[in-house]
Amino acid sequence: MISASALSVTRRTACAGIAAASTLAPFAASAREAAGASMKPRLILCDTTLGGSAALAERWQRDAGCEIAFFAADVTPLWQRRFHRAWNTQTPALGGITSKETLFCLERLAWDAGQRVLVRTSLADRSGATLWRWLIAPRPARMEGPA
Amino acid sequence: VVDCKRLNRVLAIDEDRAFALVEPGVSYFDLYREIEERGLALWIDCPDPGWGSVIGNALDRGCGYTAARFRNHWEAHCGLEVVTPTGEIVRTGMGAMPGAASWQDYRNGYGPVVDGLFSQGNFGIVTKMGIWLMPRPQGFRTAIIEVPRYDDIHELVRLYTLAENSRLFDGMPYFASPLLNVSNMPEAIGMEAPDRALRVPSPEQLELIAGAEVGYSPALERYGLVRGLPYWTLRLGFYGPHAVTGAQWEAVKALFANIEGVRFHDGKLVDIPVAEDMRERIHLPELGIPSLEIFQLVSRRSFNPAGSRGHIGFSPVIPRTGQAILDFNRVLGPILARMRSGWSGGFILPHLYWDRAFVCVIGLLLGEEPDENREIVALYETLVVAACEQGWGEYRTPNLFQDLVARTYDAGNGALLRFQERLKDAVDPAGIMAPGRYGIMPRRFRDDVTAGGEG
Repeated sequence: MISASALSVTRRTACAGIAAASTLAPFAASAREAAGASMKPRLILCDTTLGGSAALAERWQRDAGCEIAFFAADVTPLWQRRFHRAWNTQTPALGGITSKETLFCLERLAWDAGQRVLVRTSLADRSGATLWRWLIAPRPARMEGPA
Repeated sequence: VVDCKRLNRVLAIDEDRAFALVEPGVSYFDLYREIEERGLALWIDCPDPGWGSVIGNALDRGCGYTAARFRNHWEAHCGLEVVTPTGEIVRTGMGAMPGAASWQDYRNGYGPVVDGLFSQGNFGIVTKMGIWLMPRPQGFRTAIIEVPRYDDIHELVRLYTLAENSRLFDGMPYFASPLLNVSNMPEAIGMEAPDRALRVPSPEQLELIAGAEVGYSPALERYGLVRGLPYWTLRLGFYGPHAVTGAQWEAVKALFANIEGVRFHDGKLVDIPVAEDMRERIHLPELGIPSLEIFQLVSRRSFNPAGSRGHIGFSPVIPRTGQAILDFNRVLGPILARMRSGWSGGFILPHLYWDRAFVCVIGLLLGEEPDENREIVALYETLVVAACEQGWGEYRTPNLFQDLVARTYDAGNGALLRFQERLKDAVDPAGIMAPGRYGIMPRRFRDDVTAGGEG
């Protein structure tokens, strides 16, 4: 298990983090990241099998004032029960502290519901295992058209 | 590119006749959800990634994990509707009759059966397909057969084939070799709780494995015999009422009883509907439940700690004999051993998806380094050619190798491919639909050699 404080910031993290924090995001980052920067998730997914994930999720929850849904490795049951339908009928933003593999799955499922990954940030520990912090939300208007 | 994802309607499900009629954008998740919401006593059969298209996987001749007659997805299809390259809408089988009453009940219809042209082909876009569903069984049982000696593989395969062809069991079987430390069972990658305690090989065992030839050395066999470590293990699955599957298991045991030193073990006994706690212990697709768990389990493993960018599967079909398994390892093992990164898969055991043939699935991992990926591609090509020399052909292959593999099916100086090309020219005269898919080029992309000199 790793603690949140043991997480180091990768080059990609730094770029995405700067973009997400900046109000001048259209200049510094992609339209997608800029759109995601000001968005707060309605639900945060947290993979409890990844060390440090719970602390990061709880910190994010305090900022966003939303609920956390915990799962262990396989996100399928949670996706089926909690937000598959919601993705098709409403437009809640979804956040996550998960593995790259879970994000890979959710990103593709999100495409089918007209959603996109607006922010993705990798957080690597010293062993090379990686947590990803991401935000999935409806595709911003300025991204309409082929994506 | 024609994206069929939004053709996503489940057009019909008949519980009593156990079929569905679906469009190409219907995923396994979609069909499963529809059945669950309607409360029907039916199961789907799905591969590990549950987000795939029911039609797409069947057309590519993919497979799943439930009973044999359902896990071969192409064999479980019944009736197609196809848009041809010239814009006609063709229905196959009984569907060719206006007002057909049995389109999803009887596949062959009347006259030549053309369904196969649309499987691993480029003759049309399938817009509807019937799929036979599995009546929800009352229970599921697993059981294990262990044999102690290297040469037992021949009798184990012979009897297992007899048992399956006699329908003494119908679930997905799996091979393993505890002595060689290899397994194709779902438990090997953490997809279910093991039926038997998993044994960690000792350093001595690993050393003996490394010194074995085609999986054998007298010392390794002796090591196993002394410690009761089986050379070969076969896990069977049974669907049905527990009383019936229990009787089937007894019949299987009687069949194998004459193998000296054979041991039998009961495995899991699963009540249907599946209890929540059992879901954590079983490979979900074996119970007709779609999942994405596979992406968590195979992407970052002990043999691949950094994860990968995916893999390409080399998967030739070999005869269903013990000798073929040994020959496969004798011929292709040394080629795999030449990989720069080393072959970590060990002795290769076949997968038992099909109830008539073995398929050996070898996943070659791709990474970030172009040179290493080029080496994997070259290795793949070498494997295709070496397998072909033994009469082993791929059942399915990545796009990159479809021309190469098509050329290995060249009996009669390429008669099959020439025939397919003539059909392609007739059905798709402008050559607009998926040119080159599975090696079939339309005339405008073809030279005269493959066209048989017809120009």
